[in-house]
Amino acid sequence: MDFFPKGIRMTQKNGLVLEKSSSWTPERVLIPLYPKGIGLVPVGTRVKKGALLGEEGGFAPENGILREYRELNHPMLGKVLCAVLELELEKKKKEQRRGNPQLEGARKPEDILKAARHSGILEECSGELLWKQMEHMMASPPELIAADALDDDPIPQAGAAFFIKEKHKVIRGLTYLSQALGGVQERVAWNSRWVGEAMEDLPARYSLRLKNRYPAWEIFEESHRGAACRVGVQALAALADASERQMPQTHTVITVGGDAFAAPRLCKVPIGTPVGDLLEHCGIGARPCQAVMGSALSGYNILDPDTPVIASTRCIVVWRPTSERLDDRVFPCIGCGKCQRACPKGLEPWVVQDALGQDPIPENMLWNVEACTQCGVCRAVCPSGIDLLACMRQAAELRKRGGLI
Amino acid sequence: MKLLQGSQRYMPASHSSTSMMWDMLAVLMVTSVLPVIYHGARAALLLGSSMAVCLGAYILFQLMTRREIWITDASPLVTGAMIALLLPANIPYWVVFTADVFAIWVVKEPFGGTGRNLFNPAAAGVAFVTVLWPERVFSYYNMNIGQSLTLSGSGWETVSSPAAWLREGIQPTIMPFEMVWGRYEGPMGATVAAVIGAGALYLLIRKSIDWRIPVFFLATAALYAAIFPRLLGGAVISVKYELLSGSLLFCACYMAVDPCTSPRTAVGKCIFGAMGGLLVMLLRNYGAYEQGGCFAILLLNALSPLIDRVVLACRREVLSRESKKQRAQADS
Repeated sequence: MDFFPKGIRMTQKNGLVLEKSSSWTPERVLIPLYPKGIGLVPVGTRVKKGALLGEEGGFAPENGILREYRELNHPMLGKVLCAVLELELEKKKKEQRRGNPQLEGARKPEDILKAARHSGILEECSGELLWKQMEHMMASPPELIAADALDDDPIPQAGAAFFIKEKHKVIRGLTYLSQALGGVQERVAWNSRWVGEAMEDLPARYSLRLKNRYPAWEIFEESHRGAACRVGVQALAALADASERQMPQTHTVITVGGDAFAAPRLCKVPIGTPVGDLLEHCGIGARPCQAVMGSALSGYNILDPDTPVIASTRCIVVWRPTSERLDDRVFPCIGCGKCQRACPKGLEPWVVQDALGQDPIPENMLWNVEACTQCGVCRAVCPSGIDLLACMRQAAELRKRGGLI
Repeated sequence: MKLLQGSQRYMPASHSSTSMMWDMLAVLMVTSVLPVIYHGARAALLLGSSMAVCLGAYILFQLMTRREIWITDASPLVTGAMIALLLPANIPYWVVFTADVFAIWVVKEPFGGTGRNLFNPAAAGVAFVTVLWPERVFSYYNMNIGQSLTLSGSGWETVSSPAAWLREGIQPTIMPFEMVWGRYEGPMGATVAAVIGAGALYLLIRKSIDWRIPVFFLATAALYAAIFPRLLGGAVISVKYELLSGSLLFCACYMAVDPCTSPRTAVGKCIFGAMGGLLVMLLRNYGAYEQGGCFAILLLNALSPLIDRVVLACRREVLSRESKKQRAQADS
């Protein structure tokens, strides 16, 4: 029993939004290319579904014509080169399966790593490429790896819903990953009732039930002291596809929600779908709105409607800015210390916020900021409405640059 | 379609700084119901005018310094109510107003207002007038001879409060029922122990205050009272009279818990509470006045940044040692 739990208790969602899931393909996509370098295909070329557009990542989700290359400032990736592709959507053919599925037998670790690399899989929890993460894990294997089917964020549900729909594929992906790491324990991290129901017909050894608090994984990880690694369910399903059929990762499932919509919904869209087009498809209307990508609590502001959806987007939260309410006033820090008590890493956001207001910034006050996982729980609990997440990000950035100005 | 800059908060509005202040004000208003019943219209007028003066002083200060006026900010009202409740019902109005103006103009607003003040403004206001006019602050009219307070007027017959009796080592004779419901001589809002306890409980449930400060404050004060009793009757009687007389309970539950002026760290809050309890008892025993609550709080307010620094430094040291040990284990 934990008397002083970290994190915050989130208000329960009314139910699973799986019923409202739909698949949609826009007319044009902006596919981010990895590494942030050069496009392989000349402008004007007709590309086929699954064609590789960048050096190590960026695949065409459907047949289409490459119109241009454009450099974008993506909130989650930074400056990135995107291939603008006009998709041909005339007739929906029955989905062609590439290659023959090979389900039987163990795979060699190198083959699994190669498959992950060639499919350009982006892991949605960390936003890193899966093969890079796998290399890290191979160098120092964790005690257990967990598929992240948690439902702890107030709006996004894509992970949990995707797991329920594709659990067998996710479990296969988890098995491949475990094989690649030389047989570590495999688990599915979950905390909501609906995922629990879906877990019932899986062997009990997979179950890793976490607390119903945000951020569930970080709280668990802190008590396990880094011996556990999590991998997103969509990345695992993509790994299964890549190992069995050499299919690249071209689509992602995201939640679109927020006050601007009557109800949140799940959308399966090609990677590279412009956020503006997607929101219009969901019926956003013409009124200006504010949008955040990544997570309801720790997401990044989107300002450019052309920002492409990527595999680690997970959710887009949109709301109408209310007329300047009196409650919206940002108070100075009143010193309640709630941010420090809620932080899963035991950091001191209020000290950092205080330090950033000083000139020069006293470095001894930025204690351990590089350990911040940017879950945003500090900002959520702050009664004064201070953007502590931005402070922590800024401090981590300062520390990363090594030295303060 | 136009996308705008901005982030959204995912906590209910009941958890904002503003709502915490309104919670506090609501609790203070409930606390003042019984005093108004006991002391009549004068108590109500004292309370209302004190709040009005604080609000006026706040607005005037904002106008003079050309800063924005936030009407939703309940903190001047809270300060005003606290000052009135910590003084006797028969105190001249001008003493209360002096405390109000001192609290807002000297202690609170020059430091930047809500959230930035170093000292609890209400405690500072009361301490200020206590030092200037102790004979007025500690003279309580006799409730038991049938005299009633009039709105204006003076010259009521006064008696010593139980807190003053305790100083002389004499056991006050108050029935337990009256002790709990506060029908005896003392600061007008600080005697109603049952209501103060209920108010603190409400604030705890609403998460407007932290449990550590009142619990450690009262536990330390009770421990001190049990070990060094001023009365002959024994530890239990001593604890009862020390905790329930005077402003100790009010200070522990309503004033020490002010988040701006208390430490931010959990351990710091425990230390702060324990030191508060000890200091109040020491001031009662060895100080110049029968009430030491406000002075104890002011002293501790000055210490709270220091407490935080020490706690943080120790915590970092412990954590970095732990991680070093783990790294060593992982390497071996």
